[in-house]
Amino acid sequence: MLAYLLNLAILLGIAVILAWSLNVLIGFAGIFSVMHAVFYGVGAYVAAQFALHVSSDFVLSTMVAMIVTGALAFLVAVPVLRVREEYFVVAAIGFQMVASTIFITWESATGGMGGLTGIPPAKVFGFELISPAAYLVLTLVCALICVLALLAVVRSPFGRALKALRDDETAAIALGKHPVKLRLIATTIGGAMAAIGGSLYAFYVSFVNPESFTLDYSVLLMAMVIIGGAGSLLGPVLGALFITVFPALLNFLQVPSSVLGPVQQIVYGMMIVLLMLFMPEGLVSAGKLISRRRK
Amino acid sequence: MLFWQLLLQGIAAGAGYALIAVGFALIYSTTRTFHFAHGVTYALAAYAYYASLQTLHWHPAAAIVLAACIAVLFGVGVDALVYQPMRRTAASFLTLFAASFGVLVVAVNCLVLVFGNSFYSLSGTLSRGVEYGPFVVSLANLTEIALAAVLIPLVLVIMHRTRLGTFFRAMADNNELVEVFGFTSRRYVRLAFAIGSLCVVPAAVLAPYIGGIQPGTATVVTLVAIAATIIGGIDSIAGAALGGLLLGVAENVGIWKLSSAWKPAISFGILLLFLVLRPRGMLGARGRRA
Repeated sequence: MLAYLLNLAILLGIAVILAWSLNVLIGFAGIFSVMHAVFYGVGAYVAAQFALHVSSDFVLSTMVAMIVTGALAFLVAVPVLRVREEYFVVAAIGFQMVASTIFITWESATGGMGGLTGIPPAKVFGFELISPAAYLVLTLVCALICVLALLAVVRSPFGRALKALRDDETAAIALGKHPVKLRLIATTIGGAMAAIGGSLYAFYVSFVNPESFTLDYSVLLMAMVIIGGAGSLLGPVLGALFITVFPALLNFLQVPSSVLGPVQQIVYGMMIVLLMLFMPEGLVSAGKLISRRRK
Repeated sequence: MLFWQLLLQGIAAGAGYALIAVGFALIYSTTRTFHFAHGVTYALAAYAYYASLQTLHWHPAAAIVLAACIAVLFGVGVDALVYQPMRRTAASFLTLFAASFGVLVVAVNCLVLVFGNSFYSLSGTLSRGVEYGPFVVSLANLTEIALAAVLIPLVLVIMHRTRLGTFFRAMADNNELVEVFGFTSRRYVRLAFAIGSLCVVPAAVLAPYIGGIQPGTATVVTLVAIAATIIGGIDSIAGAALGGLLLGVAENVGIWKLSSAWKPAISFGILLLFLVLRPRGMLGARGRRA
């Protein structure tokens, strides 16, 4: 039971980091990205390759993964962010589909359908993290660093400019803010942050394959942010908590596994529709703490 | 030789995409609703046709009527229950899109619960191949091309030669002005959803004879329809039809050189190219409003 809870807590931590990173795009920059699993996946693959061939040092592999993924996010965003938001959504989905195909077909880099196996345990400052409890601590430390970084970003002049852009694009442009540049930086930050989640995941399960980084997972991440409430720090945590714990609950109720997946998705889909109809700001607007302060 | 065979198949697939894309473009240009659940209309009609034929042993004509009714009911129903209340509160594009996406997720998974995840296909006269010289093409494919060649010009005639079409084009052009003139556009929004949903029915009914149907097709079809609409130029219905044709041909001819694993990636590769090089699409006049 303890092992089960530890496992759940680590996966929840990774989900929270991913939801926060996506929230930089959806909540702060108003970019409706349905391709976040790509950045998560690239981060995981890069960290895995680095650990397999260079060094299993967690900090080092994560840094490399963040740089590569951040650069990729930047390169993708340059052409895609120039188009209007309706187009962006579709372009993002298109990019996710193309990336999923590349994950499967580029065997030399990703191991194809079989994936990369035998990733060594993470080393932090020379210590190998083998026990799940130690890994949970590592996950929590990463989450803490992420939240501190997010707070710093939100309070910086850059964060204020983003918020201005999101609330009133015309006014922000009139004040001399450059929307495309701001969104580019936000996408790069979001992508790099997703790589932290990817690296944590790769070292934790010691195995990565394309099935973890599909359009379905991008949608799930988007659901976490929307259900929780975009634009706040607490919202994605609530969303990730709901989406990670809910399947465990269904499992506990012994819903047959063939029905489990569809039922989960139906519940998330219903929640999104109902929230958009009645509470567009997400669950967090029920207890507006952070969002009010930010307004 | 293989090339020409693939081209022929591509035109048939493209005819289906074109019909679906025309429906999406009609709904989008007149109501400004990014109807992401459009592919569900297609899947529901296809399953309704399949089930009434295969399980209930209805006459094909009755099954087609049922499929059409279900398509229209779904399109108009989603509009009335989800989009209409949101339009009243002037919800942002993203809110509306998220809701539409939610509808798609719910519907696809309901289909999984009812029909399972496996492929369903029908065989009959329509799935039989016709040989013409070295080419083999199924009757269903030919029917699809013929229907697209008749129905798409029909939609264009409606848009440009009738009072209803004038109204639709006015809404696409400037909806506020339409309301200022004292017309309530809600009835026309409903009509746009009904006609747009009807457009998918021919392709949906023929789908079980061609590649088979699966709940996941709803998502793919939505994406391809939207990609086709963007490539064609988002406000142009003729453009959407051309875009659909282009994607169908590209996907099929692409297999000539690439492995079939690339099939879904080809459409989106083309879409990304268009977004970078020509964001207003083939026939789009207005371009992006950035």
